[in-house]
Amino acid sequence: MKKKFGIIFLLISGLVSLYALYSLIGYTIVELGYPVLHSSSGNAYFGGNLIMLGVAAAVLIVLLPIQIVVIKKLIGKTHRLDKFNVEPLK
Amino acid sequence: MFGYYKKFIIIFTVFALLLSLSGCNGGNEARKIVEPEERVATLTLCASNGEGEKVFGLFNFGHAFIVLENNSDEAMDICGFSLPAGHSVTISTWSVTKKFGVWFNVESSLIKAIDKYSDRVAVSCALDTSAVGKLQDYLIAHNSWSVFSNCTVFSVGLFNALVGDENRIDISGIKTPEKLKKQIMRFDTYSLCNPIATDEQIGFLDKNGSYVGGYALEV
Repeated sequence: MKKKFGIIFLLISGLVSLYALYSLIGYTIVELGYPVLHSSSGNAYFGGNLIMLGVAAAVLIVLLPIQIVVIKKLIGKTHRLDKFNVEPLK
Repeated sequence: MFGYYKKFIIIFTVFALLLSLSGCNGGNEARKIVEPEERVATLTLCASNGEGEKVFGLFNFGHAFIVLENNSDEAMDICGFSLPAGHSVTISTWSVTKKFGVWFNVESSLIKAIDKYSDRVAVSCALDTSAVGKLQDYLIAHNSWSVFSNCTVFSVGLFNALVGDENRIDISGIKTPEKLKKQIMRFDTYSLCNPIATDEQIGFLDKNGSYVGGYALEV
């Protein structure tokens, strides 16, 4: 049951992470092509794309460590089963 | 087990229905702008839903802003910003790193520089002296930006505060430029891609409500 939950979590979070990665690259390209507000006291940047960049980065920062932990646990479980040649109860 | 799913489907359907209805507001009958007899300025409410600028998979909600034209014989002072007679200024709120709040002439400069908001729709209304008097107070009171207090909330609020109840625009749910565009298109005098004079004095209102200028667009 836990293994099934882990795989479903990895599938869903994997899709979310892929979209976050796409957003990270997309909004960076859009922001780079955007004009800048220039003044003698320094430049100012339009924040709409920067906010979306921040959201995408935050999603990746939160999801990636959890995914690594889940993958480690799943692999660990598989290894243990292989090592002791344990078969699931039928 | 099936009962659980049935409940979930019913809740989901009701939620989806409410969400779709939140975009609707009243009927589709054409509206007429009721204008005062005296005209010292013209207020134009513009909205663009970012059509033509959208990138696949990325959010682009568009933008809403106000154009104020000085139709009087003398310069108009807006929180320290001097608007000469016959000139116009674009005003809206922006999430710019320097200031999340009210910015002047960003839109007119963007239109000139990169032909932005080419899908914009606009509706204009004359302002009398008393309406112009309310402008400064509104700008100072709404000098901020957040997702739920965005450019559409600001622009619609300013329009409603100055043009009177007959011309009031109501948007239910989360206010977005797309919803505003639909509301503007209900007025029989709405225009598409209205010409906007460019004045390159870009600036913002600081936390005390005073105009800080000296910005220019660098493409």
